[in-house]
Amino acid sequence: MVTDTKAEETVDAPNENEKKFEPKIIGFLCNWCSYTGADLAGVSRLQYPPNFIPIRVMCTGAVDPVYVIKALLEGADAVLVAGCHPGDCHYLSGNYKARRRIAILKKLLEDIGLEEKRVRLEWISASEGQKFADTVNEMMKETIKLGPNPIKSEWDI
Amino acid sequence: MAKIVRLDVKKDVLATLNDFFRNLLKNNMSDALVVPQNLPSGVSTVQTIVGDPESVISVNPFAFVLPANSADILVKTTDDASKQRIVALFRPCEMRAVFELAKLHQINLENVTLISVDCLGTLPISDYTELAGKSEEDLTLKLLKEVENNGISTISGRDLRPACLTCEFPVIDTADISIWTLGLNKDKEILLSANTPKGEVLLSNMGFELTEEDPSERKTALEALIKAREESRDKLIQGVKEAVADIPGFMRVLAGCINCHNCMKVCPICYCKECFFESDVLKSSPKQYLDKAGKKGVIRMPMDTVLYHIGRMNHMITSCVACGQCESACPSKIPLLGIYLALGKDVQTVFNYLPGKSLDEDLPLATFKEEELSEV
Amino acid sequence: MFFCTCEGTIGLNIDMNELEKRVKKRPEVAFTVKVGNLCKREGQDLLKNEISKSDADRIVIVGCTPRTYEEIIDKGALEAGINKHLLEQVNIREHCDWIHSDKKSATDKAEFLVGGGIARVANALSIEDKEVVLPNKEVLIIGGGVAGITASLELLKRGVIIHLVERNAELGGRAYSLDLERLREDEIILPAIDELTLNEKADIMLNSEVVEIQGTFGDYKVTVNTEDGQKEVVVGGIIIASGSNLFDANRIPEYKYDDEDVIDFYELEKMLVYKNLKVPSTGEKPKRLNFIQCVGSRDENKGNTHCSLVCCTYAIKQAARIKTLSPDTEVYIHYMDLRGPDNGFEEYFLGAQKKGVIFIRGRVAEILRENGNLRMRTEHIELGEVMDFPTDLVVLSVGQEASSGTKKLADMVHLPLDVDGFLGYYNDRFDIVDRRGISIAGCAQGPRGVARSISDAKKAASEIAGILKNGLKAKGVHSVIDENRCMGCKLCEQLCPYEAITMITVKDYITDEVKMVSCVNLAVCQGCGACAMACPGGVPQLIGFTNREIMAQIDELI
Repeated sequence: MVTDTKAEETVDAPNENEKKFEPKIIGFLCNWCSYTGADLAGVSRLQYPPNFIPIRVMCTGAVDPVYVIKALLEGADAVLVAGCHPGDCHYLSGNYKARRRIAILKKLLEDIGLEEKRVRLEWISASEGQKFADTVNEMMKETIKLGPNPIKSEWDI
Repeated sequence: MAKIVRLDVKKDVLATLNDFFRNLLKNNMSDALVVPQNLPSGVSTVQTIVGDPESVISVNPFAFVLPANSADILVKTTDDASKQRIVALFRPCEMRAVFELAKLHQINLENVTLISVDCLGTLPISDYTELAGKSEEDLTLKLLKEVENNGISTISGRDLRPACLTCEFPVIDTADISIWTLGLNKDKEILLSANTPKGEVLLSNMGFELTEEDPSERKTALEALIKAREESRDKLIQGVKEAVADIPGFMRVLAGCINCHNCMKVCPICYCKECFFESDVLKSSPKQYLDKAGKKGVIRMPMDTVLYHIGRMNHMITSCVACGQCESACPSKIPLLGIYLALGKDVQTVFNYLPGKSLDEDLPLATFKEEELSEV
Repeated sequence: MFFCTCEGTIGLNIDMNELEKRVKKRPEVAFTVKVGNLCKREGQDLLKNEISKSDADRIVIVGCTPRTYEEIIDKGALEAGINKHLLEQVNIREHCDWIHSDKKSATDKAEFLVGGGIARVANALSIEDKEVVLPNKEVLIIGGGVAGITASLELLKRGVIIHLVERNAELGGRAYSLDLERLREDEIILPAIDELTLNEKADIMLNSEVVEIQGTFGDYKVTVNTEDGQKEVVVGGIIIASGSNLFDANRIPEYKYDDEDVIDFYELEKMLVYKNLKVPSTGEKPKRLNFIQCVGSRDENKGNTHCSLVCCTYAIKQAARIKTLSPDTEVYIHYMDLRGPDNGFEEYFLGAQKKGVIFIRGRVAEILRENGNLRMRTEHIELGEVMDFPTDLVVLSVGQEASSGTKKLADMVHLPLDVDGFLGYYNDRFDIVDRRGISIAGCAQGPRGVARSISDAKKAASEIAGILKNGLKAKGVHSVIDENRCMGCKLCEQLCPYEAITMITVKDYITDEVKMVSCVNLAVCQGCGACAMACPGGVPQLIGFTNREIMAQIDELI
């Protein structure tokens, strides 16, 4: 498990119980906007907790919901799918397609008792390093509030 | 106003329909028929492909059994070069699957004339064959009479398949022709309604005269039937939603899954040659299994049960016609129909899409809008 | 595995020695090397050297973001004999070292990321870069303005047959009537038009319009409505040089464009070209002449939000020429702020000031005709007051806006319009010709002057000619489809944003069933992966981003 005291500073004042829980968040970042936005966050030395793990994809439109399901089943506490703003997709319309898929996925997950906040679709452009860092920090905070992914306590997936 | 042909019933309703289909083939209105017929033993009724009028022997779309959602037959019997004419007789749930598959370019409807029937539901196969084995007379005719007197939820003391009990589409009037029996005196007559120009052409070529009318008896009976079905549906959905409302609940519901993938194999919508969840993508090497076990402590075998179920839902739930074949095929009796009904409704509502309702609506996953889903 | 420390900038928080030690233990890792700069010559040499020494068949590079040096590093790996798809760059710089200050957790995360990279590359498919054949070498040019003409001549010079479609009855567009004093003689429009019309290899269609474009790079079928009826041309590439329109000043009624003595800069240009400067209502030389800048530009309410870039320069040039022709005429330029992006702007500006052109900062409120006299009400920002200007002649510096046919053309070639309604998609990109053999030149992609239009056109022409001659390579990341598993449901075809997927008819080799299956056109495929996600069966796969690679990476990362 990755640990970082910094993580707790950035996600201000969790209570005693929550303090032990460090959520793991997987991020599918589109190559052109959000991955580059994350690069900018790095270049700008914007801190966010180290238990955010990025995966580079070419486009949010190429994020198969199965990836997100897989990440959640393997025990990610939340999943971020981030890409270009609507209308700005490097591939014209990938983000619109992704939005439909994620809408379906969220509905299904919600129905089986997985909080919809655990899956988040965000538009983060290459110039929004700050937004990227903010999004990750905010997700960390929210995920801590939600608590660990309930799937983690089921080994028989 | 519907365009109607009235068929007088002489011997019984099945014989009348059998004559109708035999004449269709005899008069060269079609090159082949896809029709359900009683097996020689009389114990069950199955879909058949018929090429010779003399082999139209026991057409029976009213049997209270549905061994398979046979939309798949048109996938097999049509291709992009199909020239041969087919007339196909399906139940509403099969018809809706046909429409979905046509939108997915798996069926070429160009030379196919689709005929549907008013469907009162079906029993589990084992119940039906058991009843049929014991019955002296034709089971369908016997049960039709029984249903008329006793209502529509149980037949001979047996429950309908949950899919039928909760079916909100007992009729589908978007097929080329629909056979109307609901609310009518089946011993006297049945009605054929031509819903499309293709249907009209077929009926008038057969020498029938179409009259415009709107029989109110059917409407009343249909409304009552749908109301009852919807009540059971809502009850089922509520129950399932409660059962799967949290992860432990969902895991309990899926606990019996043996990963046989029967639900996918019998699903009319699952049209992939090789299922994603059986493809190389999920294959692991010996080392990967052991590494994973080392990392996670324990893994359930076979792996990826839940991934399969949620993943498959993501792939096809927008097109699910709730025929319940998945549940019927499940050896562990997982209440899949209820799950698909409950979750499917939620997803389909997002896109305001009713699977198999018509051929004109775009599949939700084949398109997108720039302005939508802003809350996602 | 190479650990690139980026000249020592990586490793501030991550313990690189510890990381290397931990990673080395993994059975997949053949060897690890620390280097300072894989993006430089020494680093590349080291990479080649180390690879050739070992039997490693895949590379993981642990260092900076792939977004910066991916191409250079891929090239180095290829020279070392390893295809770029078998190379994975793990970004521990921007995504780890630079943002996590705790040494232990930064090192732990880096280890995770490296593990993910290994898992991914271990499952990667190697596919050789494919060459794409382009059957047709001719080029269609849409628009016969200065950009279209230049592109045509440039292509003809390279031996490419061209088809030029012009909506109007004459070639030349707006540039025809501009005084192009700063351009070289051979670039002036009139001789160019003559040269083009005399060339036998130029198929020029006047009074014509493109109505349909079908096909793809190397094989476009274009339907053109010509004077002699409908015509189909088959070309390999397309240059869109459909130009822009001038803003119609009537849309701002306060500026009284319906008044005889209120003209736009283009009408003034014609007067100046023929040295015939006069007030239309009197036929006399103007005593006071006022330019109004930004008419229809940078004006959210009545016009367009964008700046038209060239109007300031034009107005200043025109003002200076007026001063030369008629030194007694008082010339005022009312501006919001002066923008001159082109070289030489300052020189024009100082020259005009020297000649006595007066610059007044402020937005003109309205133009009035009272008792037969023309007058303007305007604010004078520097003096902070509203002023009244009597004037003989007003020149409206109208901006450029997307021409009326732009939207239709954009739809035909499936290109998006930018916020200003232009085909500005390539303005901020280095590719001049897109993967489908479509290039845009001149004002169609946004307001610009003649010089820039000419340079656009030359670039577009030379690039497209080069590709048509030499062929092109498939994009590094592209899709592949296993036609044996394809069901022909067309979901991928419907969701592909580039029409890179075509359905081809095949016969099942056992049953003879005739069915459609998807086929990727590698010339067109941009590698977005929409097809891969569209297919429930996972049949199309994005090379470098296959389901298997990503699933393996997820497995490793959690």
